[in-house]
Amino acid sequence: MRENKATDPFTYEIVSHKLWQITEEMALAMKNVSGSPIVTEANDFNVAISLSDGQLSTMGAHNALVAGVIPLLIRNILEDYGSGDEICKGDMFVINDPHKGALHQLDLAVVAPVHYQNELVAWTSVIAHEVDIGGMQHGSPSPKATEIFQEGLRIPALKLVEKGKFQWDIFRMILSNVRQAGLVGLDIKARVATNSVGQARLYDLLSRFGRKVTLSVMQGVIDRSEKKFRERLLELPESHVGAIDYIDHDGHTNKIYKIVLKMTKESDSLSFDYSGTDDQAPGHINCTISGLITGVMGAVFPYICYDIPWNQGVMKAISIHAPEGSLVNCKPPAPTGWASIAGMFAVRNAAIQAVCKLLGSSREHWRQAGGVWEGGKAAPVIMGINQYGERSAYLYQSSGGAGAMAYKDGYDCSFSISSTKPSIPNIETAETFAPALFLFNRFRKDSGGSGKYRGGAALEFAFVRYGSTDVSVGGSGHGAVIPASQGIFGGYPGGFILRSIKRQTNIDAILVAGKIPQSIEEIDGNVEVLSAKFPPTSLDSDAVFYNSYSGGGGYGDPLDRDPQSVLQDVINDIVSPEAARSIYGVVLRRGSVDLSGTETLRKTIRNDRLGV
Amino acid sequence: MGSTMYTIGIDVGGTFTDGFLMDELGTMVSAKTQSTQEDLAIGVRECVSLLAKQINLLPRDLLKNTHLFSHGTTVVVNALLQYRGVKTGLITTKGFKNHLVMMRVGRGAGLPESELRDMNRVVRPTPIVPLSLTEEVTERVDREGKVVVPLDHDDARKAIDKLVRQQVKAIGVSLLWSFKNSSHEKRVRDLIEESHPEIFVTTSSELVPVSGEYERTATTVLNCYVSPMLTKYLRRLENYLRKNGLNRDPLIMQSLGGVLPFSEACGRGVSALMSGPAGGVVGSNYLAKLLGYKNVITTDMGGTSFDVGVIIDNAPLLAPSAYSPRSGPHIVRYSLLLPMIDITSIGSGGGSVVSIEDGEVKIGPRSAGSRPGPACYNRGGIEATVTDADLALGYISSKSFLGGMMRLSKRKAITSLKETIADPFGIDVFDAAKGIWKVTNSQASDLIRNVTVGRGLDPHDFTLFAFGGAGPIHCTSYGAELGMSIIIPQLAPQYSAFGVAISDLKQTFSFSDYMRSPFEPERIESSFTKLEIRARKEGRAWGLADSEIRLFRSIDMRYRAQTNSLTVPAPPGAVTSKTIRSILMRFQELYESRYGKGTAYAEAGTELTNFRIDVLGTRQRPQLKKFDVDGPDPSRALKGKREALVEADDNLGMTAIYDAKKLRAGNIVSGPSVIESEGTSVVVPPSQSLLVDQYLNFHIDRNGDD
Repeated sequence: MRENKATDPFTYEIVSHKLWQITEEMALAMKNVSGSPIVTEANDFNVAISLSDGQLSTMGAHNALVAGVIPLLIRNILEDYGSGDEICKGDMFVINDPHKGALHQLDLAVVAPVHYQNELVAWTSVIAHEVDIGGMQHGSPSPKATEIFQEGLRIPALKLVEKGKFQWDIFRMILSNVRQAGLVGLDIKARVATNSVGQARLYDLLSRFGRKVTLSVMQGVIDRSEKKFRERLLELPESHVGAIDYIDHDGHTNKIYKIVLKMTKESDSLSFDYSGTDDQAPGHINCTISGLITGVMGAVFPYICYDIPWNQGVMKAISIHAPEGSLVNCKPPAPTGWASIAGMFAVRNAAIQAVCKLLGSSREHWRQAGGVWEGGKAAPVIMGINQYGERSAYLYQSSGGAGAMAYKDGYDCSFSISSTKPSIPNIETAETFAPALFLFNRFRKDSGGSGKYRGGAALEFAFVRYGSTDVSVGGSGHGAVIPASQGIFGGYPGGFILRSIKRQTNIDAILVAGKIPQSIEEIDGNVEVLSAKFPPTSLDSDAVFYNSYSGGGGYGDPLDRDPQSVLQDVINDIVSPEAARSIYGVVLRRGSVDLSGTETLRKTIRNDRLGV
Repeated sequence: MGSTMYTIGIDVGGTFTDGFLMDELGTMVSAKTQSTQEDLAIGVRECVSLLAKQINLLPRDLLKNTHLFSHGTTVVVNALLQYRGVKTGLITTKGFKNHLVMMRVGRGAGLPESELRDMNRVVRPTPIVPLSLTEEVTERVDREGKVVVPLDHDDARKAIDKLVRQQVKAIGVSLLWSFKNSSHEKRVRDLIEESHPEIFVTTSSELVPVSGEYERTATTVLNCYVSPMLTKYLRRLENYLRKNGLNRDPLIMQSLGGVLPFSEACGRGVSALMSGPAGGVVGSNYLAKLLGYKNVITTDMGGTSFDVGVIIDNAPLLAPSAYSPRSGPHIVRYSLLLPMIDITSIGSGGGSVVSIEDGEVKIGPRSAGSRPGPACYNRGGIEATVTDADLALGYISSKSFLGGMMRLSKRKAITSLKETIADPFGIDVFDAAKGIWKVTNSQASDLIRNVTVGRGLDPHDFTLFAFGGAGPIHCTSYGAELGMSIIIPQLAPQYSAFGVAISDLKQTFSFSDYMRSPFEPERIESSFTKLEIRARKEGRAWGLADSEIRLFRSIDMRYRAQTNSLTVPAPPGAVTSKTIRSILMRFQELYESRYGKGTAYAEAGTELTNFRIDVLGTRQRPQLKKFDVDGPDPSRALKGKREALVEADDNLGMTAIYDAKKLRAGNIVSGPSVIESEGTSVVVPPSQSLLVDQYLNFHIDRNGDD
């Protein structure tokens, strides 16, 4: 690795801070112009600055998933357009094809070359999730899809801006193919504004500090991460580690798919081999190579690089393989609509398990090991005619729980590990936009994986339709049959995702009687348990929809958990008294721990395990 | 001066308590004393004594002749940061008791960027109200304010009893949609007051009738948590002041940027959160109006932080509301829904520690504080700080620091720079100091960019005000990078106290009523009318006649499905369709001027979210003293020469040193030079010059149009 003599440490600090500042300004431009709650509320987007060959140098502090995607997008643009004269000053490319670097079609990227003295020296980019990109269902990905062509418009790298001129024909063509065109149009313009900020500011930086210094700092940021990461790998034991994760339901049949990983840590490099994973599925759960890389980095960055800047340097020490045509490296026409919450999630869940086993075997880094975070998503889309009489689809983002770590409980209601500043809407906001009245929204009891340290609790909520007579609910997720958040070193997995509709209920009578039901069981009616994937299903006026996410995986044996912590969880309604007894072996008496009773019970459970 | 009336401002900061005093002729004096953390009122009393002494009065005679006594205090923010509030319970809607603890996830809320990616930092804050003190009551109101399930009184009584049994001293009541229909919250409040009048109660619909149950609840319980102790503190202070002759209502600075009588402020303690820093912004706005500037960036660099505020069209910018893409203000990681002056901070000040981490130089956020303080304080600190670098570069004097109150050790400064920075990098001390100077200023200017550009503003449209102990030293460098003209106010080191002293009475009442275009004028008018009744009542409580109460209407607006809202002023009087058209036009203008032409997506429709009334009571106060112009020659203020960094050629060179006290209106000081005053220095770079105005503020105009 080469040291940068071109810059003194102070100039390095100034320029690297300014690079970060540019990503901040880009992110703010995106948020200011975008209308999408996905961007502005959930922070589900990110921006980045890369070197001319596509190496990721600095990325914004939002969704970390883009790290895997950006270098692929730029590599594909370079392949399609050549690095020669076809990429011009003032161009911007729009791109969302999962086979050209995007995760799924809903993730629309705009990528812009930065020229200095007539030479391509860098790239800026922004990726954000769209509300719709066309296809067979409002919101685009559909569990019914059998081919990628049904999942919305597929855009290879196209010049949305050519030599500074906005290409209205391309813009109009995109908008003709999407629902909620107004919102999508605004979001695309927001991406252009974001890159304009990035291009202009990077140009200023190049002019002020000179090309040599600026580029050497951009490279230096990458080199330093690589150096630190390789040093860390050297501190970890040489090993082969296996892990398996599962996805239930491919949208058509409730079949279980297996994702198999063999991870090898050798000297200062780390390799991930997904050979043995099931073949690509006929439904929307597959991911392309972009999801594969994103999933691996989604585990490596937070767990190993908690104090190392996340960029290409880390990726240089990692090799990733999966057979072409497998679920995690699929070929066309396999659908990839929910790659972002299925294929990529499973890749990441398996990688987290493997990485944490590696960290947990290290004398220096064992504290970083933990259970899997929110292994399966379960966000319902509330569709139909809203309370204002308009056709709409509202994705209600709720949250699962974080994996426990070797020294602390998982964060309850944590959202995905890859989001660094996530937030979910207030119920008052959800009720403003969706025709729904919520009955409860809270931590689900016993959803956090049991362990010496408990996995984070997931949220559960229920609602009835409200202010509209035409409301359907649909959703995709996984972890309804097999828990999606595995525990580690004896920790239990986090709870399943749970969704159901109770029909022909007495909900009106209950409300009229002045009561608010606090569980689905308190309501009379017929339960329809929903599978991991369910197409839009209409809600009658007396139907109650229930939804819960997956909890986080636990760490260590629950019998080793401090009984006082178990008591606290019971008081807080996060653990049931039954689980306290049967899983944690804690005996509670009148609001306190019976210590000797607990000791006896724990001994009995241990003996039962051994069969003695 | 026997019969003159005095205006006093006292600002209690983390390290120092600053005092400001002005008489009817505009003569100003200031004082500085150490803050007394064990009882902040002691520092206030000391400061009053110091002020009195300077005009040869006894504190009693000063207070007797004081017609405005205003106070900024850190008592609320400290109580929160140290979790010293009262035991507080929460009553909320059945099915939703977790929303406060859940924090809408809130993993990154209030954390610095540098910590966002570290999983070890993913922990919830110590709860202000734990789940064991959170009770649900059966009741439900819908988004239109219609009662779906009436309040179950037995349930409410049971909830209250349970909290009382756990000995809570305060209860926050925050129910879903209470801002649309507050009857259930009011009923719960009555039930508490009937049986337990000693318990402090805040209902969310009274404090912040604004949409967003998490933020509204957090604001409500934080208010409960701090108000009883603020009340106690203010009562004690008021007793002292009254006993010692003050015969006017003392006033306390609010985060909103106005003062309130102690009696009105007690029940809304959480509004005094930014009581201190707000003063600097208000003071800047007062001065900006006087000098004819409309748009100002305020920068306050003290010992531990660098705070940036924004003034647009002579109105301090408020922190974003709940619907904004930027998260609103945070305290102990909870989000707040209160209108407060928007101040953005980084941990970069004179006391910020410089360190090397993994071969990279880092400045702050850790501060050496006042104990041990920078190495040059000679109180045992060995780590190099920004102040040590400033001293090594010749920008501050080792003899006249804090008006000679403290002698600095240049030797210690150089040793710390050498051992902790220069030697590890293999460079000389001067280069290390120069590097620290540049990084500090570069990061300060990056923050100003972030604050302005992030809000759709162009720094070139603003004048930079620099104050605080370290602001005047660094501003000519961070301001130059942004191409801004700079004003360094007289009394820059005690500027917040000045701001507190000259602040008007101000309060804001807002109310959420979500509307989509097309709008009904009657509904808009009724929202305003409701608020104006409350606002008038407040004005009367301040002792104003109806004719003196000034009300200003505004509406938070956004384009459909866009979350970025702007506050648009609305005209008084009846609301008609014509009024609405003019408001919509004003909104589009404002929007495009902020976010660029073409960003307004009017086709999507417009939404109104919050209605707001600002009530203002202007107090009579003296004018600042205006001095006659004396001519450009500053030589009578020349103290001597010493070596200092001359930035143009990056080398030390002999630099003229001036005494700020001896400079007169009209004087022009050309760079390179350093002007020393009590508590700070001003660095004038080469090829720039500084003009002293008729109020003795310093002006440095930007060079050309770079």
